[in-house]
Amino acid sequence: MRRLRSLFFRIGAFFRRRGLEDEMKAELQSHLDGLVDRHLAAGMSPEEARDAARREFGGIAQIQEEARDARSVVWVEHLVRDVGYAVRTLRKNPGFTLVVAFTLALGLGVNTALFTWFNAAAFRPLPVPESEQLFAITRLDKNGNETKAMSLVDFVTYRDHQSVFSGLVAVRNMGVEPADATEFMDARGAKSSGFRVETVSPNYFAVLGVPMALGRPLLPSDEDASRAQPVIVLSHQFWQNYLGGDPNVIGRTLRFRGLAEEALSIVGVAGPDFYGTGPGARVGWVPTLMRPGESWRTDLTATDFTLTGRLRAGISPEQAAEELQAIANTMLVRRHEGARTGEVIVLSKASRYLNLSPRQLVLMLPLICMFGAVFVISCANASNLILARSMTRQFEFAVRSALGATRRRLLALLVTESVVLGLLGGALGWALAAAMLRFVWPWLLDMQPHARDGTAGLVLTADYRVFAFTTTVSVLAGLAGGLLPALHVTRRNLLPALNREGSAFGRSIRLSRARNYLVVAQLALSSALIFIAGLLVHRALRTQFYDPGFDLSRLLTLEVMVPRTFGAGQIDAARRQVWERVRELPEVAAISETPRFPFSSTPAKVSVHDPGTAGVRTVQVLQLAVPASYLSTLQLPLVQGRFFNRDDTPADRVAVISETAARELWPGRDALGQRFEVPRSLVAGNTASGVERRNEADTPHTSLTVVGIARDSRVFDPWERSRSIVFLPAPPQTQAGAYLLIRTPHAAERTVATLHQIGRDATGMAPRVFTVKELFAEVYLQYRVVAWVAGILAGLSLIVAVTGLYGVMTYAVHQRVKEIGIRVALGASPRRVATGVLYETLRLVVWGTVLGYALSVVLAVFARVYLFGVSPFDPVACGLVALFLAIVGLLASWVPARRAARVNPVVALRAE
Amino acid sequence: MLILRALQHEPRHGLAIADRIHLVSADVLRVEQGSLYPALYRLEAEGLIRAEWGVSEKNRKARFYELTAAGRKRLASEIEHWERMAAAVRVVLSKA
Repeated sequence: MRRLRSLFFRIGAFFRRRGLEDEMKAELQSHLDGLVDRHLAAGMSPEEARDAARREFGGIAQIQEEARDARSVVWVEHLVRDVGYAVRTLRKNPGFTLVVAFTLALGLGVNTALFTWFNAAAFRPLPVPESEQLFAITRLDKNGNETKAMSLVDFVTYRDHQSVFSGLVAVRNMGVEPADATEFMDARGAKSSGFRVETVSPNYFAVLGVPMALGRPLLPSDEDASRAQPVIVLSHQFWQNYLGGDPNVIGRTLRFRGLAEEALSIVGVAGPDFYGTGPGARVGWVPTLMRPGESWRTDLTATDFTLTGRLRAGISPEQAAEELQAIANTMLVRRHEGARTGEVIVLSKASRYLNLSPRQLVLMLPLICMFGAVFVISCANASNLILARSMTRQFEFAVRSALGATRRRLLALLVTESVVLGLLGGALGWALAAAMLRFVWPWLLDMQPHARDGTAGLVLTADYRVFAFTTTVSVLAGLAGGLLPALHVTRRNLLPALNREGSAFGRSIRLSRARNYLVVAQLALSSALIFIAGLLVHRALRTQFYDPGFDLSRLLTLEVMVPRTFGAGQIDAARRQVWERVRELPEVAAISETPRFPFSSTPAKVSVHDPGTAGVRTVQVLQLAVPASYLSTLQLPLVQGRFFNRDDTPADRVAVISETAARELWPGRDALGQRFEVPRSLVAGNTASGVERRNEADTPHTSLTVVGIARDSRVFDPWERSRSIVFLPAPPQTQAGAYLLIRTPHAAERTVATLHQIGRDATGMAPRVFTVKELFAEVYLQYRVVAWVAGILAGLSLIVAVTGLYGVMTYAVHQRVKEIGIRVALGASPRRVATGVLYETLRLVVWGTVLGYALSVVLAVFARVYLFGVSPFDPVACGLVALFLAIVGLLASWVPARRAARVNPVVALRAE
Repeated sequence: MLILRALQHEPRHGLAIADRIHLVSADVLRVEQGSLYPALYRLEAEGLIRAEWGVSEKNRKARFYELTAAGRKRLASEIEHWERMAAAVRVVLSKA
């Protein structure tokens, strides 16, 4: 209680402090006068009396200081004064201030931009009410891999039996194309990567609580198959960008291919901030019924949906997961032949765009570290610069110290100054981040329209979190930069400073060492960043030159799309029609049915008898059952033997294998004609993708003969060509396949329009046609973006490091002007002096680079998952680092060396 | 505590307080006079004494301090505490 009253009093005193100050002075003076009077009365002379009184009283200045402390909130006063002093000092040295602020701004700006991105993705809640209640149903398999992919069967099962959610929705994201390409022109004229629509359960809007801007949301009655016209609710973004925000849009019809019905009637427009449960540009939302085809409704393995639900109040996620697990065990596992056995159901938060589990956070660690490295480099640079400047203020602070300032106060003063610098850097960094997010980020995205559309909805503006982050980090940066110099300048030993000794021979070695360590640390981090960036850039570049192993410029895939009203017979007929017509096209050189393409295959274990040891060897391979003409359509180069022909069936027990498989199974021998064992279930033709085969040991095996060996290619693994692959003949299908692989004698793009037409003629809907080139490019694209980001970061850090080194070397020369002058006077040639400076600089650079390289190798070993395919001794990256060394060394040492060479001994020795 | 005691009977200004302590302790306690003031201000902030400008005996402007009710209470408890301490110490010393 006493403390509280004291606090109030003190705060009050703070505001009255000027008056109180005068009062105090008057009071003390009066006391002093009283003492003087007494002494005078005792007979002393006036001077004696005054001296005696003063002695009795004590040190006035100190008493005043203590008295002030006792009565007011002094530290605030001090803070205000220190800030004023800091601002004045910084203004008097604009060059220094700007350089340091700019250095800090680089590190702070980059990190602010990153945090803004993070904030938008992972911290800002979804723009629906009570987003904390939203959870997604997640499956964990035995190995701990988690997935949110569910089928409609799952959805219906859970929906009908659960009691823990107040509502459960199913969402599927799919690509569509406008029926007429010119119908939609983006307001900005930007190229769109394709349009995406979400097919959702009709309670979507109700459960999520999405605000509407126009019209009505989807309703359960929209699922009624007998409706005259299917409906769509548009996203606000689509409405604004493509329909011009037309208020009369309700009732208009949009036409898209890829949906079961092409013509959709617009019934509503969602509110402005809503993009769905995940970021990404969408046309809008349609009822699940709009998805074409039939099989996905009853197939447990058609896991295209995510299920999100609103948890009821009072139920914990764990409780809910238990109930869902029970439902899964009774309904799903038992009824669907043991699929999903052993899977655990959990609930994961769905309240943000990016709901990061700790595991995912760990994956992002390298990215965070890289940004952190730039920050550290900036701070080290700033620290160096502040340190250098503080040397020139030693005299001032020595005097202050001698006059009675406590070390604490001086430290406070200096730290305040560097924090002000930090905040200034933060303000500049804020501007830099804003600029980066406005210009650099969209530019990066425009390189890959997929990424741009995929991250729409991320609100990359600053909110209170970003502001708090930037402020905190700025203060930290200021502290980090200024603490060391402050400690140094306020040290107790005043004499050298007071005597204005410059750093002559060997003095302040410790300080130079500190500076050198800082510079080496900066260089190490920079070179590590450059190295990593080099690795990433190299790999990204290499993907452009990846030899896929086959000619992919003339290949297309086609998926026949059928309206939902088609029955099985109609679907089959339509597919056959497409097949026939495509085959007859003069532009088509070969055609084959295909499983999903590319990169589709399933792992399997095959075994082979080893004559050498008379034992059995098992080899892990990828296997794929392919129709007869598949391999020849693909034009996979044939090394030996033949591909399948029309007569090959699974009963013939033949197989084609890849070069690597041949090497692994029969090292050093001719593989053609050899036999190996596979589980019989493979050959029986039951290769539903994704279903794992277990119990290899007791499954009956059957032996196959190798009839052909194919060249290695990337069509099954985008990163690794040398995979062991076994092709088996697919059993003859009674139904026509949905996917076609088409080879054209010329560039694939030319045939796309014709294929569209054929598909439309057959089913009334345009098929989905992709060139294989596009499909491959999509896979590699993300690595390009990462490489760009890394490159930018590395570039920035290079700038900072060079500036730092330059500053340090210039300052060192400046400090040692006297020493250099003496040397020159004693006969050293200017060239020798310059060379000396050069050596010293290079020594630092080499140290820094070597350390940096060691650091990057260690990191590369740990972060292998990010960098698979590129070794730490990658020549391009090493070359870049060496280049870095050369550039930095030269740039940073050139001017200081020249300055050293030009030192005029007479001037140097006379100057102080 | 000493300051509070010095103000027990009547308001005094700084110099007078110093004198009083000096006098009553029979010269044993000699404080650097100025160091009174931080203590005075602290006590003032805590609300144990209050101050007012007035005129001293020598016709000089001075700030007079007097005890508040809270101050009196505090003085009493401090004295009691001190005497208990002293008694305990005495007991310990005499036992030895």
